[in-house]
Amino acid sequence: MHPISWAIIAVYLTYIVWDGLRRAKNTDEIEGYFLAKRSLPWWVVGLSVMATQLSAITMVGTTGQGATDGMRFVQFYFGLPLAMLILSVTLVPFLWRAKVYTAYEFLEHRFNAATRALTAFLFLLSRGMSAGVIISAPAVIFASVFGLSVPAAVALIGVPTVLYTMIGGVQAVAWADVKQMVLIVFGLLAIVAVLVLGLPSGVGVADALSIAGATDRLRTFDFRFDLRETYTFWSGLIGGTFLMLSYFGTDQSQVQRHFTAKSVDAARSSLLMSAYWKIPLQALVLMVGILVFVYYLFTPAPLLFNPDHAARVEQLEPAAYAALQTEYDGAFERRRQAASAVAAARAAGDATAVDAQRGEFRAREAEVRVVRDSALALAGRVTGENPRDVNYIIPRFALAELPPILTGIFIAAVLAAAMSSIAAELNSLSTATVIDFYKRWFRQEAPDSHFLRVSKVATGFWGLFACLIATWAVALGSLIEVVNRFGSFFYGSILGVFLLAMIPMARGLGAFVGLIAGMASVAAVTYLAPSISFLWHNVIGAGVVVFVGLLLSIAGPAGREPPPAVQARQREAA
Amino acid sequence: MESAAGRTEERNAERRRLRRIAARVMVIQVVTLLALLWMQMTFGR
Repeated sequence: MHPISWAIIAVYLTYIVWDGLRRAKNTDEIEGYFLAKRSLPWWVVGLSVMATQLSAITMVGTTGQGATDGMRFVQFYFGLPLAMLILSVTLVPFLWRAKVYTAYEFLEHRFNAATRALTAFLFLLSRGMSAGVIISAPAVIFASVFGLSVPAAVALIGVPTVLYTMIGGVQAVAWADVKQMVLIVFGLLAIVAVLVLGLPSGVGVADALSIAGATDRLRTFDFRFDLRETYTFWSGLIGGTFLMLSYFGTDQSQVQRHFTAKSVDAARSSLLMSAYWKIPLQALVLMVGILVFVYYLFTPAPLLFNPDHAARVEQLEPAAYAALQTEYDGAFERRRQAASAVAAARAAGDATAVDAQRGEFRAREAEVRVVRDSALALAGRVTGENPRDVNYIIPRFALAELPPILTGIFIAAVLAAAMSSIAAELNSLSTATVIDFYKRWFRQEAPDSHFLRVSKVATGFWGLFACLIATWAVALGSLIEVVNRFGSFFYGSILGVFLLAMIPMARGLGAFVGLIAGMASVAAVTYLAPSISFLWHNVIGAGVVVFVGLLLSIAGPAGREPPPAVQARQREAA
Repeated sequence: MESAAGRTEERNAERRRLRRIAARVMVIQVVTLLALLWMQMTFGR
């Protein structure tokens, strides 16, 4: 990589850490460290919410998905605006006014300590692992692309993030998120501009879209009602709404963002920022991928985008690789000519010719895909690893095709996306550890300075834990998959508990048993009907918890009455 | 009595504001989805 690109990355990392340390001055109390003394303006919280959700996987994986699969992934987010609207009138004011540090703390006020402990424990388990995965995904790519070792790539991402999160607390995290979000959007827009300006002469933006559209990459909507498909209009709208309700309304890594807002209105407005911008932003991310696909129709692309795999295959199977390369070069050239012919037919305004050329282009694209699939299968056999190289398309493009300044900005933006998600997770993991366990069960009374020290140690511990998980992620592959799958068992169920909390007749026993019944139902569905998309697990989990919880609350032994403060709030809310 | 009336008025004003925001969010989503649909119909297969 060019020294200018490295310099930009170094400046970015130095600035983010320096800014985080600077913000530590205002966090001398635990409320400042975890909640920024509930003082942040809505737009800071809003950008922080968006930055937390947008991880490095979005920057490299989703753009790559756009290049290979097109726009249909955007349907995953169709439920988000509705979920944000529902949250902004229900859970957000409810939780914000409860003046709690964690969402789970509220569950003790409303139900009992067991429900709080179980939900907080499930959060620590899943988020602790996912923090490792969020570091490992970009680290593995960086290691391969830059020729670094995996531990070095993990350190590049993890060490600065842990430093500013540990020392600066939530203020550092939120303000860093603002800068990181600006950098991410700027990086994406700059790449779109370069891609549009870099189209060959005679090929306009509309031609590029027509060529991409010929291969179905612009198909956004799939109106089939199929529970097995994740990316359909209905899965996104219904299953997605439940997933987003659970993620933004009950997951501490997100809830803690709106707890830092200076008023209920500010918390609400911060969520609505995502409601406005998430789908357009996701469409932009996928469009980057589609334009990169078009770019590589006219510029020779590598046979294998993962440079490490390409090198190993070339070394260990030189004859097979060379044969595939020759076949690929021929197929590439025929596809390039077919793409140019589509643009020429469009320029001539001949609709019949356009249709014919688009058909020809589809056939040539299928030819290239066959050769690529053979190369990927060979890479899989030679390396013994998953040969899928979707995540390497955009990094390869950024390194090989962009000017050094933009390469530096893009890599910094990927780092920013990774760091903003990890920082929020570390901060929230530390909050749940200290508030829901240490302060609740071990030491209820102590000076603030003591809890502040413990909080910093907890942040450091989770940072170290995430880095170790990330370093051993390849070896821990199956374990991580189990934990992730386990995570999907309880996401909807936890939402069900919070929905119960808003129903006055619900009682603690019903909530606790309902939570376990919800998770068991999702586990049963996962194993008995594995083809059902995980988006529907959230609907099933939440539904079972509310049903069982209410049934037990009405018919079962009387649970604990909500405390007077909660009863008063419920009356006020009603 | 006055403070109760004041609270009701405040609550109504908040509801109106939320309805306006909800309408705005929905309009933006519909426009975005229509733009994506237009792109699919115009440039798709």
